[in-house]
Amino acid sequence: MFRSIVAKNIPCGIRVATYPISLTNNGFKFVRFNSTQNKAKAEQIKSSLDQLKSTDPLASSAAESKASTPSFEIDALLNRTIESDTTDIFQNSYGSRFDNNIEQTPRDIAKTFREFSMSAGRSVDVRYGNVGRGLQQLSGIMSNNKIFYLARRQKRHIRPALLRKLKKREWWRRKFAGDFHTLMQKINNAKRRGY
Amino acid sequence: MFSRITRFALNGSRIQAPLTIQPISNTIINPIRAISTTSTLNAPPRRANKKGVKPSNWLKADEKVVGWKIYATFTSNNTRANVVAVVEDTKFLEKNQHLSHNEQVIYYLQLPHRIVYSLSTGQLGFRGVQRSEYEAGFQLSSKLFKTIQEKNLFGPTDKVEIVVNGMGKGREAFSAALLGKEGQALQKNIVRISDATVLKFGGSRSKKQRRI
Repeated sequence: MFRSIVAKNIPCGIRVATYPISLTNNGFKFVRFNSTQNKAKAEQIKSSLDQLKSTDPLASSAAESKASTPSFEIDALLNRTIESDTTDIFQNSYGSRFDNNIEQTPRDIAKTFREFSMSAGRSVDVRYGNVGRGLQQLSGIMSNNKIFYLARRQKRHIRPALLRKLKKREWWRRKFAGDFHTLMQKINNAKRRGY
Repeated sequence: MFSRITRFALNGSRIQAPLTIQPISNTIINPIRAISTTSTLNAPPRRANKKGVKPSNWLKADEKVVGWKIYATFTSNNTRANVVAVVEDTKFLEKNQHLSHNEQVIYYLQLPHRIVYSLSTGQLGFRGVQRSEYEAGFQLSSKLFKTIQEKNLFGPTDKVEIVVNGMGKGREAFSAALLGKEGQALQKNIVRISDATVLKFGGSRSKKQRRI
């Protein structure tokens, strides 16, 4: 299981990126063209095809006869198949790197695993020996996630009906405190303004 | 739990190592212990004879210490602390070739822990209700840090993780001692602090509520 994760999955994700690169490889662009309306554009296309003639062997057949109509040339262009690359461009870079390292030691594989233990979300890295900051961060995590509150509540069994009642009570007390706070703010503001 | 150890022990690049300049005399590294150079293992024999910290008790052949942990538990009645060495067998793969690949990976995910030193407030002379108090927790922590320094357990570049558990009064005392002058020498070694307070997800039914 561990081996398959390392060996197979990683290169597959990267190979997706090869697609657009091969399309733009020849320096060629598709142009929307209407031959009956615009003859100036037809001249442009012709000239560009003449340029391509020297570099691109497949386009040469389309641009061969100057007497041919522009629409014919476009058809030829559309029919033109894109030359498939015989060599994968990732063969030299990404692929080989992964292929060489398929067999990792179990020690290296164990390194790559993420934390998944109970206290995974409750651990803090201490930077530059700054323990005080680490402790502060940890206490922040503990209070945000109500861990002490939950641990205290779990110590004794509360029957479900009572628990529901308790939750409602807590919600109401929290709401009341908040509302009272805002009310007092309003009153103090008014007082300050001299009402 | 064990993955955290491995991360802490093996994936050292992610964790900031404390900056210490090693003197030239320490460059000869003990083959048993590669990480810590100035420690009990390299100490003169008279110190190695001390009870409880003698490495032969907890360090087998070919094993080396890859990290340390301090487990501190704070219950409503008591405060306890353990100093634990995370140990790795350097020749594990050669010795255990019959194991499957996954089993070998699991060994490195769950490296063995060896208790080196443990302390509780009762050992300091606190009895009964006294054990649950702040003062007991503070004295325990200061004794713990002092002992670690005296026995020279941690080398200058050793990495230490602190695992705190529970919500007793000793918890505040422990952190106060760690930040105060008692734990000052230890601070540079600490790379991670984590909490292991147990929370139930379902599980068995708790005791009934007390009526006082």
